[in-house]
This record gives sequence, C-alpha cells and structure tokens, in this order.
Amino acid sequence: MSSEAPKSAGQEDAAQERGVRLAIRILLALGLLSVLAEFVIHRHTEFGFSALPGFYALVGFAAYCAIVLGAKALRPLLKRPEDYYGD
Amino acid sequence: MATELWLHPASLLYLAAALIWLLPKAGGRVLAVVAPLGALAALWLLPGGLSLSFAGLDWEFWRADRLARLFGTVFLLAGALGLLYAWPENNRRIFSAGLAYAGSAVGATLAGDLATLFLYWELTALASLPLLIYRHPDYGLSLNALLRYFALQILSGLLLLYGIVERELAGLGLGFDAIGLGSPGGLWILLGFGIKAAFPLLHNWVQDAYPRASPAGTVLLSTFTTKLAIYVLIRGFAGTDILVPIGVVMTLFPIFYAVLENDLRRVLAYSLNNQLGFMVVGVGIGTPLALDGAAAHAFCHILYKSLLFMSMGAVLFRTGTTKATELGGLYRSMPWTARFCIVGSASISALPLLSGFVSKSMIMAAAVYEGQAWVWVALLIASAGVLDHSGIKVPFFAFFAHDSGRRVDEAPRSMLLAMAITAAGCILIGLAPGLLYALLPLGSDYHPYTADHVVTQMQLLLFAGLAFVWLFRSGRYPDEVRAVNLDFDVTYRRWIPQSVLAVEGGLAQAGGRLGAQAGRLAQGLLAGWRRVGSDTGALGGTPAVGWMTAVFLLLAALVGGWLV
Repeated sequence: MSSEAPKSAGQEDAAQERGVRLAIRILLALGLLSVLAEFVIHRHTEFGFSALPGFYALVGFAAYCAIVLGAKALRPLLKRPEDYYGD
Repeated sequence: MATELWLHPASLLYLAAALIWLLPKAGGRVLAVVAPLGALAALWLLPGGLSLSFAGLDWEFWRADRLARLFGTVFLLAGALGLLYAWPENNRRIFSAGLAYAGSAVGATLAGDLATLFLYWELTALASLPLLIYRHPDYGLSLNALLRYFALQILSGLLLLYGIVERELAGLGLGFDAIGLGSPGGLWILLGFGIKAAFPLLHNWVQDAYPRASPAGTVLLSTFTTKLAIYVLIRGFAGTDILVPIGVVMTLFPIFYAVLENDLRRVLAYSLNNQLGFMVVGVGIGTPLALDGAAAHAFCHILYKSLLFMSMGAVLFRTGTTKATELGGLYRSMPWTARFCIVGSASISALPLLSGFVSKSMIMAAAVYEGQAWVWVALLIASAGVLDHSGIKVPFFAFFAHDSGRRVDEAPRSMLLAMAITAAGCILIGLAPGLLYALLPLGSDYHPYTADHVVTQMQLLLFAGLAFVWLFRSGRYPDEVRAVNLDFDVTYRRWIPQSVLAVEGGLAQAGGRLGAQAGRLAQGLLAGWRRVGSDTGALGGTPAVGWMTAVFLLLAALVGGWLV
C-alpha cells in the first residue's frame, strides 16, 4: 500500500467493493458449473433421495442457512453478559 | 530390556522434559523440537515389546502395532510443531510440560494393558495442567477454570479405574483390546473415555479450558487428550452402536455455539468438538473403512486444527485478543498468518486437494455402505456447518470483515515456520493421500478423487459459501457480539452451586445437629470403602484390586476436596 499514491478511504472502499462483487460472480459461476458438471460425469447415487440433480447444492445452501439462522434464533435464549460467570 | 526402557518414546520425552530445566533456554528450545523427532525415530526403528512385572502386575509398556504407531506418529509430529511454535513464548514451563504431555499421550497409545493405560491416562491430565497456567489478556488467570479442568480429567480416570477393577473381578484380566459396552466394566470405561472425547454434556471442559491457555499452550492441548480418547475408542469400542447417535449429536450440537461465539479460539474449541463427532461416528459404524476413516480423520484433524489454533494464537500473541468484535482487517498486518489460516480452514472444510477431504469422506462413505441414510444426511448438514464456523467465520472475522484499524507485526518467524510446515502437511496429505492411507491400521483401499465425489463436494461447499454471501450481504448473518452463551456447563458453574448455597443457607438455621450427623455419615462411608478395598474385603483378593482401590480412594478424596 505504502508505495502507491495515497488514496482516499472512499476510493479504497469502492475498489474493495468491486473486488468483492467480482469474487461473488466467480463463486456463482463455479457453483453453476458444479451443478452442470453432474450431467457430464457418471454419478453414483448414495440413496434414492440423493439422486436428485443438484442435491448437494440444495443441501449445502439449505443446511447453511438453517444452521446460521437457527443459531441466530437461539441467541436471545442463550446470551448472557460477558462477565456472567465471573471467571 | 534396559535399552527399551530408556528408548521408549515416553521415557525419551520425560527425560527431555526434565533436561529443559537444566539447559540454557536457547538449548532447551532446540531440545523441545528435537526430542519428539527422536522419539518418532524410536517409535519406528525399534520393535518395542517392553514388559515389566511390578506391584503384582504385568505391565505392557510398548505394543507397537499399526494403530498405536499411527497415533504415536501424529502425536510426535504435532508435538514437535507445537513446541517449535512455542519458541517466541520462551517459557520453560511450556516446553517441559509440552514434552511430558506428548510423552504421556504416546505412552498411552503404546500401552498394551489397562493398568499401563490408566497410568499414562492420569499422566496426560497432570502434564497438561501447567499449560493452562497463563495470564490471558482477556480472561486473566483463573484458578477455578484450572480446577474444573483437572477435576473432570481426574473423574475420567476414576471411571476408567472403576471399570478396570470390575473387569479384573469378573476374571477378564487387564488386557487392552476390544472391550464393548456389554462386558463387565464396559459402561464405566466408555464414560471415562467419553469425558476425554467430549461426548455431549461431558464436553464443556474443552471450550472452558482450552481458549484460556497461551498461544502454544492451546495448540498443544488441542492435539493430545481428545485424540487419545478417539484412539482408545477405536481400540476398545469399535462397532459399539450407541456411538453413532452420540457422534451425530457431537457433529451438530456444537455448531450452533460456534456460530454465536465471539472468541475465535473458543469457536475453534467448539469446532474441535464437532470434528470429534465425525470420528466417534466412524468408531460406532465399526467397519474397517469406518475405523480407518476415524483414524485417518484424527491424523488430519490434529494437523489442521493445530494450524488453525496456531493462526489464532499468533493473532492473540500480536493483538492480545481473539474476540471477533475486536478484530478484522488483519490481513494487512499478518498476511502470512492469514494465508496459513485459510489453508487450515479449507482443510477442515474438506475442500478437495486438502487433507480433510481425503479422511472425512472415508467415514461418510462407510455410512453409505452400511445404508445409514440419516447418519449420512446429518454428517452432510454438519459439513455445511463446518464451512461456516471454521471455514469462513474464523478467517473472515480475524483477517477481513470490517477493518479494526489494528496495525501489528506479522507473527514471529518460528511461529510462521511451524504454521508453514503444518500447512504443507495438510496440502501434502490432500495431494498424496496414499502416504497417509499406507499407515492406516486396517489397510483400507479407498479412492477419494473420483469425479462424482469431487463434483458433489464442490457443490456442497460452493452453495454453502453462496449462502454465506447472501446472508452476510443482506444483513441476516448474526452480528458478532460480546457475550457468553449458556451451554451445559451452566449447571455446574452456576445453577448447582447457587442451589447448594441456598440449601446451605436454609440448613444453617437447622444448625450443628445436622452437620455433626453428616460428618458421622461421611466417616462411616470412608470406613466402609476401606473395608471393601482391603485385600480381604469385597473388592479385594488380587494385588491389582488392592492398589487400584487405594489409588481410587485417594483420587476420589482429591476430587471430593476440590468440588466442595
């Protein structure tokens, strides 16, 4: 950073945001590619229900959301002040 | 035989642990790294087979079969790396305890009988204790936490000892092979192992104690005790059905806490618990592929979990905290630590070409072959959870996310070197899994890199990653907040002590009468114990039972003393 011309914080943020958007597009493209690849390769199916095309994509997305949002829903129940135990 | 006694890997490490205090510090830290490697050479070059008779027992100190050698190898490698990582702390207590701890863990894996196992089982508890003596910048030095940890470790030993005595009385002898839940003493031994394997509700000592240790202390702690428990489960309880649901709960339950937890080393402690779950499922399934999978996963896990704890330890070392709320943007200051952390994160997430992929998939495949659909789905869901807490959350909130404005130095060179070697190990196993498979106890022939396996795993990870992007960008991802989250330990850290205080307050009025009676009751119980424990008593008759009862009483008194 130090060798480059000084940038304003706003410029740096904008550049970072462009990078993030690019990374997300790449992630999306790879995701789609991984689903399409299923139709090219020979896939062994573990169980009847897992034969569904895109099964892993579905489980990955749904399980991730369920875990994160489930934990978020539990927070009010579990949350205590940092010094709750006093040690 | 005298040679074997001195060249036993545990003896070598105990010797080194003592020498640390005599050598100048510069020499001591070299010894701390060289000694585990020397013990590794002894483990592989010597045939083992050390048996001694004393105290009326035959002690088998050195059974060097494939399973023992595999765990011994990874313990010694991780020990050397953890002690290299400990150089910047430059603390004789860490070097010495680390060596003794590694030696005890290796001693336990080489134990051919239950008495020897018990001996080293207790020594791991003792040797690990000095690693927890640390004035943590966030938590300070907590004597209570230290005693909670030690009491649970000793309780584990007591349960093991109780089970061993039951087996001896049933005439089963002290051999350490398959035990099984149905055999005499099996339940107690399983519970004893279960504490150290962090079974559900017996797990909180991990998240309580580990994040309080020094950077290197936590790395060393994360390596030995829990994986020693996996080793003894493979040895003693392969194919025990109840381990499958226990393991499944372990893979899922800690995930929710890992999502909410603010201290990133505590996130990793929950994540450690979740990884142990995969191994316990493997032991429960019990087919050769599942058992080899559990052993392989323990091997890989020790390396990538060490690496993750090393990276967060380096953050603690430089910034004085690992709280997500205080961190962010550290990639600017600690670019190499960030890179190594990402290698660890990708490994634990089972990204193809890295170590977690080639070991976790063995356990998943074994569940498929056994037709255990619900187990397989649970592990799949848990895998998405791993991607969140260890794959994304830890590196993201430490090194990226919003910039905390902290500008610190990169980690010291020896820490970076330890991380680099550990990361290289994760990559090497991922690229050439045959190297690891060749060491597996049952010689499973498994091929992780099939087109459909790689494609389906990439689908799982990419779409879980996209879920993170969506949740985070839309503001649905839970904020990091400074808080503790109630886990099962609230019972013994808060609710029971408070109830006892309330009851005591009530009793105080009833006064001395009741107190005197309680004292008489305790004395009576103790005398009764002494009677059944003597050679002529109910539990007596063999020298084994005689001394075991003595140790049992001593330890029970100690645990009782701490709890009161």
